[in-house]
Amino acid sequence: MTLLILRQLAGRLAVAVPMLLAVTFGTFLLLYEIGDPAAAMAGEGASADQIEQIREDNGLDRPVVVQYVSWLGNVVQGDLGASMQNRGDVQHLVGQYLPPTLLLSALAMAIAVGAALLAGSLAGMRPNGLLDKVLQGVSLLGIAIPNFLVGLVLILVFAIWWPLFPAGGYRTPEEVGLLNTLNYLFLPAVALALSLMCLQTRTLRASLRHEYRMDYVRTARMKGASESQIFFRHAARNAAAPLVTVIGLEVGVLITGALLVEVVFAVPGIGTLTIESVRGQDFPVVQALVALFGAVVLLANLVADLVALWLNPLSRSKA
Amino acid sequence: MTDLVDQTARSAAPARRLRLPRRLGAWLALGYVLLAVVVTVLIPFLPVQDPDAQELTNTLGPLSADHWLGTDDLGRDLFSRLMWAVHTSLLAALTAVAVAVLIGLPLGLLAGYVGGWADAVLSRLADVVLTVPALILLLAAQTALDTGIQGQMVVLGVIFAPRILRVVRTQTLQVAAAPFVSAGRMSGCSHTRIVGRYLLPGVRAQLAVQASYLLGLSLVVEAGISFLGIGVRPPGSSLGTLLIGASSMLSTEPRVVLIPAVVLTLLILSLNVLGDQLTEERKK
Repeated sequence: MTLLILRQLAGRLAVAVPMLLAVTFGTFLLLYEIGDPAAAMAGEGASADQIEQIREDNGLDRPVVVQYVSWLGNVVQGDLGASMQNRGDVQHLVGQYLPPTLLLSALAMAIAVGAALLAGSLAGMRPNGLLDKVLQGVSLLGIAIPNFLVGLVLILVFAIWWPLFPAGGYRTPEEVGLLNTLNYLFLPAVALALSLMCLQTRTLRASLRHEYRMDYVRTARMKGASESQIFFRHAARNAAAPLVTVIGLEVGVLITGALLVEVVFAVPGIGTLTIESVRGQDFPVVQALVALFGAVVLLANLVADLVALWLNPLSRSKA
Repeated sequence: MTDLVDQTARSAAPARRLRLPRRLGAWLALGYVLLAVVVTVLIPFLPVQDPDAQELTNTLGPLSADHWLGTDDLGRDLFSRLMWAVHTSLLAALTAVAVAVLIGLPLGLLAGYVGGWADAVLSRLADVVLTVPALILLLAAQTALDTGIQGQMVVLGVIFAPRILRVVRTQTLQVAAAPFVSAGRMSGCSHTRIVGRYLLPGVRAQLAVQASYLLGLSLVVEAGISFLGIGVRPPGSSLGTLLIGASSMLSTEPRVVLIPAVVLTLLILSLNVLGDQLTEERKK
């Protein structure tokens, strides 16, 4: 078992690492070959000579492959470069903006998974029941409505009409304690969780329905196992594997959603940093952020694959 | 002879003619999308008020005969701004999807029909693009190119192209394996004819499904970047720009925020419902 997981891990890393290199190189080409960092640095109204001077001073006149290799070499040593807008080292910037986003994402994912486990299980055990019908309607809407609109509606209802939560802003756990920080992050997390939850509920419902039709469930029933035993000991574990895969795939949605939701709720996280860097054409920061996002997505898929493998013996024999 | 083969190809190809959606929900969705299309096409010719005209004595004004949906914080007519927003947003989304299809369809056919090297290279490239979320890629491209909304939507189309490519490739592989394709080859059809008359009809339905989902996704992205002040810039009006400053307006006059939000959500919902319906029709 451990050996199998290790072999799978090695196999998947052999795909993921070249993929990440390709993503970072592609982004580098886009930014440093198609784009013009020197012109962005010089700002509007700079003369061609000034731009040329900046290009030479910063080594931006070297061939793009050489620049990429030197960037990659620095990254491996933990140096992500320096902001072009005089905001210091990129790694410090990222480190400074990362904690709120991590907390927000974790909270959103926890809410989504918790709700999806409950709703998906109930709907999957009684397909076409009342709850199932209601959930289908809700999930259609939940997937369609953009995260940031959910955020706006939540602000209206739970911060203005019925002021239970702050309408936005953020305080670090060191300042006000973890509980108060989570109070700030609760509404944005719910806004993020809605679409994630809907997809997860759909997946869990479908896979539970599938498992409940299997022979082993019938066998368990014939042995006289109770409904809860059938659910917890037999069906749920197998049905969870597709759910884990979906959760892994949703990390991309989570990142994209967090970007907009952070702006709506004025949370100073990675999304805010991204928007500021794009507006200010801060090339090194954007390059580092795309690399970071790519790495997170690939890592999430990898972990999800391995967990699904561990959960469901059937996929082990296929792998 | 080729005509005969063509006929069998048409009846045997998996692309059954798309029947009109029967369920009420799908009809409503279709009606709403068509309404949006009509507004998009006709709004330049309709006698609505100037969406940029400010009436500073009547800011955040109530619903009235003059202003059907009231006025916004600068006293601009919300109804006409909303109609123009639908126009801008839908055109932007259509641009993105058109570019995605123009790139993804031929490359997908190539990857699926020719296979080999072309397939390996194109599929790997698609994998790489699909690794990073579309919005992030779009923002990276925006950093490099610093263009307006039209340019951004072309870029978004390029980013979406791999999704079309994947669908078309999978579908092409299936259709190309069917006996009528080899029969066509044996009866002397050129590759061009095979692709145009045999494969394309088999790919069309899946392409329509994917395009309707992507249209919804493009609307979300457009609204998102315009809301962030990166896409359509004020005073231009799009479903995203109408929401700028929403947080401050929510406490005073939520209607100004909620109306565009509902219009946008219903449009995305309708496109998703249509996509689901098309998928279901195909299964039958």
